[in-house]
Amino acid sequence: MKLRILLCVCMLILSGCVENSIVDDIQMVTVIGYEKTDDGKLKGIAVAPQFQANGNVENSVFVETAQISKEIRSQFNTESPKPLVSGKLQLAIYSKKIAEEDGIMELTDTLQRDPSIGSRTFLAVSNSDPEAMLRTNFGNVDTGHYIHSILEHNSKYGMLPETNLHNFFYYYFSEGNDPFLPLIDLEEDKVKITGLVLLKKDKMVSELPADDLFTFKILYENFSSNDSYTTDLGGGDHASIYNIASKRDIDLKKIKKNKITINGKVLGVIKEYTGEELNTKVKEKIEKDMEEEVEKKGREMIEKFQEEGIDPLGLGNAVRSVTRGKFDYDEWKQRYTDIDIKFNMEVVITESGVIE
Amino acid sequence: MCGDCMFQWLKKRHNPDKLKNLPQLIANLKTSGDFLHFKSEKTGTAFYIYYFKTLVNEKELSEKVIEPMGKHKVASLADVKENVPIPGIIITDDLSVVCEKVMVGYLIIRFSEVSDECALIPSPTDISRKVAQPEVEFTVVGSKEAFVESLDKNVHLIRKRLPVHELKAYELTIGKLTHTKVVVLYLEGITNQENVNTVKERLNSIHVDQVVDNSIIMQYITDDKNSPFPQLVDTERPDRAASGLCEGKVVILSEGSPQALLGPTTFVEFFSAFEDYFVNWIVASTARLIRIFAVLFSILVTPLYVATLTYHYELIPSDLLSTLVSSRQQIPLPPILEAIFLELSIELLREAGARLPTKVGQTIGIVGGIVIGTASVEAGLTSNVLLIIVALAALASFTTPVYRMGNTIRLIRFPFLLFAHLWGLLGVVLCFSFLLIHLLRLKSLGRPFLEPIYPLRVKDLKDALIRLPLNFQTKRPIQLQTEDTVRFEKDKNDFHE
Repeated sequence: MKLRILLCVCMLILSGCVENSIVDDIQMVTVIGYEKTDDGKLKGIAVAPQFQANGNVENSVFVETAQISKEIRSQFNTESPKPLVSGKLQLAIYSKKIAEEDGIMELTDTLQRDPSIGSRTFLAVSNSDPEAMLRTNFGNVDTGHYIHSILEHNSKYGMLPETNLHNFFYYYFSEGNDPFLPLIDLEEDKVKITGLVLLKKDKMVSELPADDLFTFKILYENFSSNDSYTTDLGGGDHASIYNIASKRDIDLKKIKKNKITINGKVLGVIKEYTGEELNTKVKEKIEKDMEEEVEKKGREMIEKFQEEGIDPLGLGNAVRSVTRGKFDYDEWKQRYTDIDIKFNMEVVITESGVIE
Repeated sequence: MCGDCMFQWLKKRHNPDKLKNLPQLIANLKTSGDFLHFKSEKTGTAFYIYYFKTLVNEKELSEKVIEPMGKHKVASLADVKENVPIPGIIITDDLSVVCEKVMVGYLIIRFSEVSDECALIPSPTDISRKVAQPEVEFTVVGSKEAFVESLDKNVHLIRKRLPVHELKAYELTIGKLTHTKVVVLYLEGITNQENVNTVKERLNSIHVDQVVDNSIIMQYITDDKNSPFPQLVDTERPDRAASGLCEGKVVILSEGSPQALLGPTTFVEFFSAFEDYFVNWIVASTARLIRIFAVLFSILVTPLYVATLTYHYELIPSDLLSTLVSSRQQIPLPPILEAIFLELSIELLREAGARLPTKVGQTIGIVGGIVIGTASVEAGLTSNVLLIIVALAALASFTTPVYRMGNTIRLIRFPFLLFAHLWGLLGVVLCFSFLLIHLLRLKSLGRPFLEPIYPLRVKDLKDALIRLPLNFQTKRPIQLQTEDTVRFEKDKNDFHE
């Protein structure tokens, strides 16, 4: 009985220690942006949506500059009417300058250490000024959710590989992988994915244009998407192939002889064809043209990776997984640039439309 | 057994020193206005009749007692027994018997005003209502008979359904003043004798002045009196009671109560409506799953709302966030007060509706539901999201087929709310653990209450959360530890060959 009373008393007293955060008494930061000022200081931009009772959403933008990133977060609170919380953070944007000059690890690390931030928070690099981007009104929506949705549906159904906090840290810390992040751009009042930023450790070394994303994704993973790929057939004819499924296979049998073959296979449907008649011959030509085109792009891409010494495709990781004993990562890094990496494509067109 | 103790007690009360003989007793009874007495000389020999006119069927008295007596020239008590065409005539000089019987509709006939010996002729009047339709457990298909306030009729309704000699009825009387007749029914050779003895023991240990209803008996014999959960099923359907008997349960009926108690029972049985057995097993199982879901929903949804909005904003999906936040934007109260305000107003409505006459009650429901709900949202006291949640939770709690359990479900939401406010989801989990521990400790007539979930008895799952087809129900529940476990042979029913 004594124990029970003690328990009840404890429960009542301890409940005072719990810090609550009632949903309408806090400001939830949904997107955070970082850029570098000219005098070398760090500028942080946080956007918290204000949901009005009539259903409208107003985005409050907080901008603070400081020497280190941790200071920024406490400064935000000084200009906010309600405490800012980060549990609903959906996206972190870094300016290209930071990605190129300082690396993003220091800024990303704070996100990872905060237990309330989910590991599915997206990361992105912005080509344009993050402040301008986050100050833009995208309509009656929460800015963070808006940009997050663009990235999310593109990595779920489109050509963008997944690039969230978890992926970034996995590629950053694991041997034989290098992270990459989407590159976004503000175009008037829209945000657009303009490519992929390739990082070496946490610094940007190179970027891929949006046109290469299809090829990159074929090289990178198995996927199926709603996107289409247009191939030039020559003579003014174009065919648009709607991708059903793509399969990638890394052949590591000849790794001892420094040879890696990546085989890609795409199953596709012809969505649009500008030529006259679509017969078997034309279909074969389309298949072949597309194969050649993708192979060429892919090979160039791989060459570029090797030159830069980055491995966004995770080949090192794949080799590590078939290596017996200890995998010597330093040795691999030296070997990587000289390895002969082949890329073969196979395109199969399974349907050519219902008109037939 | 108990009859004896009752008589001893009677003697103490009605036979203080002055009531030593019959004439004194009759003199005492005459002080009641409805006690009639007259002298008749129709037979040639004078005889005296005494009775309570409110207890006796006077038509029967003149047709079956006075007329035959005149016809046969009855002259002695032995002649009465021979010539009056009513069975069960007692000739006695035991004052306590006379006293007891006259109070339940017997006539006293005697031939001498001084003698102690008299004849007692049963001629009780029956003004209990007719067997009517079940109101609480109404089913569209199936029997439309419900128990009434007369014990004999109730036992009849069960005996009619189980015309076997194994159906035993153990009778006893409880209540110093009410003398309520209680009957324990069970099937010999099927029902576990231990269960029957438990019931008998517990009933015999009740020593109170009045038993108004079976519910009172239920409260006295229930295993854990401090639990909000009912541990015996009460039903107004004779078919449910009969079917419980066939399973091996014990049924308790009492005079003046249109409800039978069934035990031992399990937690999941409270969520099975009797209609589940009348419809196809798929439909029945779906209905049961919906009810179980409704219970969980009803208990947990408001606490989850409070917990999430107070502590766990991260858990709210981004698409829902704007709806939730904007609905709460103008509300000055924290989620817990908002929730308690609404939950209490729903409880108020229910209570007011239950206490008022039907017609007024409906008006209250409409006024309360629509006017108060809408007004409180417009006044900015509660959010409309919560209003929907609370209304749905209240609705869900009414899906529980057993009324008592429905009340409990509505009640245990409040501790959950408190815990949700104090510690968020952790509190909800904590409270749920407390609830689970409590349920695990509960027993129904000494049998585990949470069976077949814990202790896990896979075979009993055939009729628990879901109801499998009838040809799967070949064994009686293990819970009841029946003496004969087999209900029927499955093979003999299989004609699809």
